[in-house]
Amino acid sequence: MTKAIDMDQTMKNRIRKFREKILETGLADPDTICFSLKEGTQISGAVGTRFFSFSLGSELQGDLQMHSAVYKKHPKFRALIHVCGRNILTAARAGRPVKGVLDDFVQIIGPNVRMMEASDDPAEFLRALKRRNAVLVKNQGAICAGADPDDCLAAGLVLEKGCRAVIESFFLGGAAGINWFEARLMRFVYQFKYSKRGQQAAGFKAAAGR
Amino acid sequence: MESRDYQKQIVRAGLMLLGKKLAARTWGNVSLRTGADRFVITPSGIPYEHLEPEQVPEVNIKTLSWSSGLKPSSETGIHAGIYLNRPDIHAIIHTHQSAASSLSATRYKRFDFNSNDAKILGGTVAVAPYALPGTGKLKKAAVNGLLKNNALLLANHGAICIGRDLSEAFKMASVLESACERFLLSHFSKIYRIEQPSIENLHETYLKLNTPEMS
Repeated sequence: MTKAIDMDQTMKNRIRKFREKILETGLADPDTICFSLKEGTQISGAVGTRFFSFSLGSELQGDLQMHSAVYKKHPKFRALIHVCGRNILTAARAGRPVKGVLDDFVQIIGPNVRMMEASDDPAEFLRALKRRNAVLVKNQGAICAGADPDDCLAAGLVLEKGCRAVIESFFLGGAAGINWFEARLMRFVYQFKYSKRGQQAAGFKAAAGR
Repeated sequence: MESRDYQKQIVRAGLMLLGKKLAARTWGNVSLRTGADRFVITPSGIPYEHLEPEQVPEVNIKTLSWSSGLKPSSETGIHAGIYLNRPDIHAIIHTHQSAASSLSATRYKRFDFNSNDAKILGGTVAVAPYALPGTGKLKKAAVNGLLKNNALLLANHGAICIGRDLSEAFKMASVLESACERFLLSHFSKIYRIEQPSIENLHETYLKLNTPEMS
């Protein structure tokens, strides 16, 4: 078993704050919450009330092994959260991929979200995550990925709303999907714009002397 | 009122959008008319909780040019079009609220809500035809849909609510959300003959109908 790294106070505070932020959204339960953040070569996070920190090269098991595999394969991702909001859980229990029927869903997550069986195999998870920011895990919920903690939480929120739209519209005759081309176009434009936004905000703050 | 006061109102309105769960992060937008030909609006891509008054741009209704602050929201054209066509309107909020989004995804032409909700919302609520965000097509659909009404669903996207001031626009958004929730449950109860329908019933029924091993 790999030895955990000591977590400094700044990181502990960051993990504590982000844990509270996730819990406020109702996307996870205090006892089962699971998330990680990557900073440099260090992966830190929480499982339930227990905080952890490992180096990226460590040999890990279970969920953390999957997190480590994602961070290695996709350097752009720096946050992963397991989410189980009511609508996500129902979609996960139904066991089918969920199509994006709302604009913000296709922009932030992708044209759809794939469904995978619960598994410890990182390769299976990486396949399901290909060109997406979330994966549904059958009967369990979903795992969301993002370039930063807020981006990752945003994926969780739009996934919950997108699953809700699919479930609720089912009783009104079903949702009209967004066509293939438009969904991919929106996703591309969003990702391009998003990469520039951070620079714009930083530039404004620098100009304002803050 | 000074421009700065309007900018502060936009910051507060952004936080209200979050607090009332009508939008999250940078989604949706809010604007406030500041004069016959100008309005302030939330900028593009800044999370509401990080927004500062000086970042809020003031936009010319006719030219869409802006002074001060950051680049305005990508949906500024929709706000300008509504202000041009509705001189009685002084506040606009575009939300991504959940229940309204669910109904908008059906692409029904309109929803007839119960009489109390309809009274506040100004009759039936139309669903604007689908158009990609930020396009002229979406602007035209939104402006046309709000010529006579004060609330509109945007297909597969969210809602726009307008008012004589921000509190009226917010009230419209809250009523719209609860009207959408009631509409869904009432429709569900009629189909499945459930006297006291709940979201729990709805999810159970969804799973029965969509999970092979449960059906």
